[in-house]
Amino acid sequence: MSHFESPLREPLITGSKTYKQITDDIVRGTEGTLGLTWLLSTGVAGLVALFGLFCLTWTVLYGIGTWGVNTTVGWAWDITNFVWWVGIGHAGTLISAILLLFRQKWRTGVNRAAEAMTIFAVVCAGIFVLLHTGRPWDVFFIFPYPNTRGPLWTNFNSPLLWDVFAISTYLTVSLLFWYTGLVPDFATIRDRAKAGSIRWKIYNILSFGWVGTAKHWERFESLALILAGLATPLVLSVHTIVSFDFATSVIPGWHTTILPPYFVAGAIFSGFAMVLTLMIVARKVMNLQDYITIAHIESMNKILLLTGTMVGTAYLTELFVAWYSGSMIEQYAFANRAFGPYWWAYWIMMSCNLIFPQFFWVKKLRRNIAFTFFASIIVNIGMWFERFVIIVLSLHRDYLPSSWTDYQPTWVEIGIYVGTGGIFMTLFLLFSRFFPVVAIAEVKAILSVSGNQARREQMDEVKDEEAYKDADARLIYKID
Amino acid sequence: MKNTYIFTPEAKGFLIKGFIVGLILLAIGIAMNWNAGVGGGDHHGHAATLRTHLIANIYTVVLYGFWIGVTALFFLSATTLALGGWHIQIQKVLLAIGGTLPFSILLLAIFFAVFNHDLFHWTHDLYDPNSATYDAILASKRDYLNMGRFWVFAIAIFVLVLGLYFLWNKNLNEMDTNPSVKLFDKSRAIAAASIFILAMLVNTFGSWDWAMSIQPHWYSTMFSWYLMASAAVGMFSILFIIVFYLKKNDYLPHVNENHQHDVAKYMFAISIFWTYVWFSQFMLIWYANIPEETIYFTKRLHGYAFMFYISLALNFILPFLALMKRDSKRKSKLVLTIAVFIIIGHWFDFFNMIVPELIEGGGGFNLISVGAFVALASVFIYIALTTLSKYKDLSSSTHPYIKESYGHHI
Repeated sequence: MSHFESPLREPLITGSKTYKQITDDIVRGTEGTLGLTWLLSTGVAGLVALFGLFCLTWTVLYGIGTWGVNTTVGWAWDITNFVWWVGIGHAGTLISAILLLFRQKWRTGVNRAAEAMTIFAVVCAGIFVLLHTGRPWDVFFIFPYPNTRGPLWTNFNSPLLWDVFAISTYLTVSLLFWYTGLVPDFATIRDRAKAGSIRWKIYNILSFGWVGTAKHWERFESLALILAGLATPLVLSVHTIVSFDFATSVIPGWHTTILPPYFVAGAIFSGFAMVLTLMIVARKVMNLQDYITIAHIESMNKILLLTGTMVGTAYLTELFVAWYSGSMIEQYAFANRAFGPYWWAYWIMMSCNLIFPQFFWVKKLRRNIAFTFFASIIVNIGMWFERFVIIVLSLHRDYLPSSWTDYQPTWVEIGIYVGTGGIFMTLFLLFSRFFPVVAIAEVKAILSVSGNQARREQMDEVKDEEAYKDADARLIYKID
Repeated sequence: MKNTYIFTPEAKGFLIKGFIVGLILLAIGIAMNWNAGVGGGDHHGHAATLRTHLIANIYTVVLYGFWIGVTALFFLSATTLALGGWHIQIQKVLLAIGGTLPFSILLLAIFFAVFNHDLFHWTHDLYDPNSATYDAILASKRDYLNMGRFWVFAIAIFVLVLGLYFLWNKNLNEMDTNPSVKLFDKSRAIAAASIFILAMLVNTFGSWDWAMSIQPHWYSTMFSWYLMASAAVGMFSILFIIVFYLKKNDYLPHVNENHQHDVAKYMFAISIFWTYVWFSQFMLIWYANIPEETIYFTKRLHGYAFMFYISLALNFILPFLALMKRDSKRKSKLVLTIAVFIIIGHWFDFFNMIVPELIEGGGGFNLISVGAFVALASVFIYIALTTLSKYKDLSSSTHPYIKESYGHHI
């Protein structure tokens, strides 16, 4: 990585921090007694999660009949939620893996929380697939091992099985990635605790006895790079295979070749929206404004604009090609989306995902925290509706008009969805209380080149550089 | 320090020789195919005559060249917008590759004006129910597949692409003579406009009109992504070759194996991206097995199976295995060899998009194809190097991020 950074670049750590201050600022959140706000919010989230568990149990006791699905609309609310949660679980590994390969330094401020969020979101997604099997207690049937069930073996031709492998691999690698990054930071927490105390012992086990020798760091860095290399194709593969669940079929609206990259772009889009929603709150509550700066938020908003427009291009491509194909069934499927009984769902999707992010062309709005928070919620809603549109709107008009039907969720389905939100928030709150929410070691690594004090030093020292003699140096170095 | 590229007579001579060799190969190819298609004909009434062979093969290379120029501008814009610093020293090379756009646009315009009946089946008399060649499905697409609409879109794309190229050219040249933060801000605005226009208008309608509509019954929503990814790998390979050539002739003193490593990374990464879109398109069509869609691959696997598989080998297996290791990406001669194979591989890929449709059942690849490629490639590189020789500051040494590019270390 370059050890020189142009003074034109915005600093990524503000407040002229020293290394000691960085440790203090981040570890402080994990120390002391539990605060009332934290206890209350965790309590509420836990209750919501319990309600979700209740609805889940209800489903298991009384069967899938308690849901609103029917013969025509066999996939609806649960698969919508599954895809939505898996999508959200894309930002973390993208930030930690792909942005690491691209050497984007701003990732250090947000990667830890985003990775944690990834894991929690994938856990929530898993709940829906598990229930969707109908008999969750038989779920081990999906594993290909020698058994006595005769022809009832795993179907390797099915994208649903590929999903099992893709998502479990993704969860494993994401978990490893997240945990590896945590090891030196756990050691930092341990070293601040009273030696021999319970706190010290717990964090010592968690940090695998890390002492931070040069050899440790060397192995740490090469492992990070290898995991990044492994995780990068996984980020793409997971949502690609989720898209195969739909696109391999011959259902109009599902079978279209653009689905794989469009799903991946959409997943990153929704993942970044969720990271923004959580981090805008967390940076305020935990006083992390110097580490998650406006520059970080702006970068993430740029990614929202990019991926939102990519998804939008795919929507429009699908519309165009449906018309261009000359296939009446394709044309009907898309006309039905836009003007059929669920037209409102389609237009919510279009306006939230394609139109709304276009506001981020304006720099002022990209750097406006309140607006960003609002936009991130809008995108979360829009991306939920995207999956609803793809699933329910494609299914509810079958090939035979006699099979046409509508879909309405029941309280059980809604309850499970709300409950996964509770599970997600509970896990995130636990994480933010006991784990360092910002990667301490990685933030320290960029302090000397990307901290705001580094910028100030540059101003004095590089004015008479040979390379800039002919340039309008005053102009180039002018920063405020 | 040499900071203005001089297009030497030796280099010119080499490319002129390449052009002549291409023409000779083309002439031999013409002689060998003189009687092609005489007496034969497929169900559309086209016979793959010498004329078809020439048009299909030359058009393939022209389209490939045009998209290489487009992806050069696209990558320049993308990396500028992402506030990249490492590429500053070689951004003029990217711009010079974009400098071939006026030439490829001119050739495309000639093809569309003169040879549209040869390329586009839908330009024939298909929409009249009383005609013997009436095609009900294509008639339903007449609002889109007609020459009037086609020209409006083509001219719009030509104007937009040329406009973006000239804006970029003006901006980067001004940065050399009178650098300022304001100009740098402006280059990011141009980059944003470029990304939007190139991705949403040029790449979509361009690929649908000029490549997908050659097989007007067939459609695939992935097609525009696939075509662009294909050209992009070719572009990075050419970028690598030109940078290597400049280094060899003592230009760009601060470009070292780190910068070459990054270009090679892009060759590797976009090769995999190409494979990803190629595979997704293929797999979904194969799996769903709808005859209207599988026809595309049927035509390519019957008569063009060799081209089909060799393109996969050159465009995926070779770069995947050869460029995976860090060390191999830093060995410039190895990457150079791979770059040449990749350029050929993606030419084959473009060939597979176009020729099997025009010359059905095989036999479309012969010395005419090779001659057309060698001759036109020489011209494209000649134009790119001429463009490059016009920049006063080859390495953009007054760019605000130049020092980051000098110190780039990975």
